[in-house]
Amino acid sequence: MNATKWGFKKSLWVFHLNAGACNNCDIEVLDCLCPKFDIERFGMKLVGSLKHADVLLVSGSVPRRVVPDLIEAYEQLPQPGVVIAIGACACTGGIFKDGYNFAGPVDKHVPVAAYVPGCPPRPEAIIGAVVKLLGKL
Amino acid sequence: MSKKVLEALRMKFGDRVDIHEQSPKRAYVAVSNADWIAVTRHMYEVEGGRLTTATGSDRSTGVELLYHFAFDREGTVVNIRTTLDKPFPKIEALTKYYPAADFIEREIFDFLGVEFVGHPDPRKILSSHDRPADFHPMRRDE
Amino acid sequence: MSTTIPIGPFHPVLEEPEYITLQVEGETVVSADIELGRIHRGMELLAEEKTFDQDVFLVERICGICSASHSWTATLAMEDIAGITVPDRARYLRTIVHELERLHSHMLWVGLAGHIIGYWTVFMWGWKYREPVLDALEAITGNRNNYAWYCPGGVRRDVPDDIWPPIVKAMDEFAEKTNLLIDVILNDPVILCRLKGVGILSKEDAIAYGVLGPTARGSGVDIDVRRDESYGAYDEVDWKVIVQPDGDCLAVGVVRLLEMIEATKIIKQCIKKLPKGEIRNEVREIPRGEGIGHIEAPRGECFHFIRSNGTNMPERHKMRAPTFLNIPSYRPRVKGETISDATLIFAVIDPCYSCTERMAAIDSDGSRVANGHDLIKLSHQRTEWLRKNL
Repeated sequence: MNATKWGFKKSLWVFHLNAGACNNCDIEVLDCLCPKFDIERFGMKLVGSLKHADVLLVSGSVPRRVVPDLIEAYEQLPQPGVVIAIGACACTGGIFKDGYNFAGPVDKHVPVAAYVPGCPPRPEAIIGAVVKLLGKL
Repeated sequence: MSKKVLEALRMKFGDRVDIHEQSPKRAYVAVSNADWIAVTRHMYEVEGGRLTTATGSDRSTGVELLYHFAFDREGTVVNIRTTLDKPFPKIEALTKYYPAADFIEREIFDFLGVEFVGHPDPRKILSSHDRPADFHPMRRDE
Repeated sequence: MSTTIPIGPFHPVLEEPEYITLQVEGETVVSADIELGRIHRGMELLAEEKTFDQDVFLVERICGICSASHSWTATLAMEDIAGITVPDRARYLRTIVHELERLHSHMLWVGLAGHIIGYWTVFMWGWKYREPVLDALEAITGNRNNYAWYCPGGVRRDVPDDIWPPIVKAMDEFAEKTNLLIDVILNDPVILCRLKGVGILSKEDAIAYGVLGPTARGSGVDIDVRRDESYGAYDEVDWKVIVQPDGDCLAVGVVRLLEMIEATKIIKQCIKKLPKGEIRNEVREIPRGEGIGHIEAPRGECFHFIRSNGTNMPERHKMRAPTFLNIPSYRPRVKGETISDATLIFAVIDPCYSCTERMAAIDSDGSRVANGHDLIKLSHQRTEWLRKNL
């Protein structure tokens, strides 16, 4: 059993970071919490501090000004930790990739373990991505 | 209707305002740089218009400012327009008299480099700090 | 000794993320500074490189919560330039989707406000009741958010008649749950203590700062573009504008809660009156000219200005979301209040989750004295204390 697998054996705590998203992906991430989808039944929990998190969910197209913040957030993520890019913007830049202020996508700045495309991805897709990722580690 | 507002503008400023009524609910008023602050203050202080936002755009004639005043009771929008000379556009700030213009004028300064004289907080608002001070993304002059 | 408390920098709401620096003395806030720009994506410049049809999809992505509002505003501006009228059925369909959006946005706010004052149950309930609204939106438009529903001249797709009865039923249930929430909130002494008289924005300040939507109506400023401009089908259905005079957090909350009841009424009437016929008038071109569209989004007036030079792309597309004007009013609002209320007052202006989660208090020598958890805990402790001592 490698360290990553060992570290992810129990409940996953998730931190969510908005790096220039339109809010849609963020609401869908929060929606995972609500009674209809209820990620807590898998032991997953949205936490308020990066220091407590195993998984960093990043949404948004990463405008220029967020780049240092994103890198700092990744450096604060305790290892072993993984980054998941949520939404079309975080995966590729989406509709914003031609913008003058665009500095992304996410994987240009931090290593990304899984991509969840969609504008916005449905809560089922987000939960599915985390579960699939766990199987791959 | 916006008729009353436009009549009052005509009464007060005479032929120094160029009024174009596009439809019963939309009117565009062009004024000179010198009358700018008097007309915009009149719209807010006397007529009670609400500054919804302002559009700045770089056109061939210069940098155009278009302040949109909404009159909610009548459901009309009266737009005040003026054109500033390039390359260093400069105008008196409305923020001194009307706090709602604060962010709006800072945004125009950021994007188009219009200097608002007397603005209490003339910092850039949206663009990244690592850009040079004279970086104004919406300016088209090379 | 004055202490600086930074709030932010990340904020999940549209173009207007903010980084707020509070100056506090003891527990009292003396001033606040607001910094924007982290989610600035350069949309106005992007819009100039897209055709009018593509533009509607771009503005939809200004904000995930207001996606129907922005796309409707942009199409109104285009219709203003070209002088296009919209078929009756399309007007009603547009209104229904817009009001459904208002429901889910307000309910989202109720949940977050509940979380901030330490009522986790309200968050869970609010978000549970919000799901049927999203299901209704999915049934009508095909997606939970970003509906791609509006286009110049009408709406993009027609809907069969048999989808309406479940939506009417869902609206009845939603109104019932909202009434329950209103009952709880107006009768709970602790909630009243946390909200009443906190973060007051006077009517004069509300007008001077040009605030919009529920923020303005909570301060007694009677503006609502739905009534004033009477776009869509709003002048053909029976509803009323909710205005509360007090200007505190409670007043803004009550405006939002009562507006949800009004919105369910509007939706039900629109479904009942929904005319048959065309859903879209063909738009061949947008001629040279200038046009304005403004509508009442859940948070206030959305405003778009479009200038066309006769080509298929706009020459200038100015977009302004309501929070841009609502944020500056945080300054007069928070002055003189305590830190434990700062998060709440912030949430009253606009729902904000990430910010309050990421607050950190730093002492003037730079050492960290409290983080976001502690501040929310402070807020929760105050609720607990009130609960015991009332």
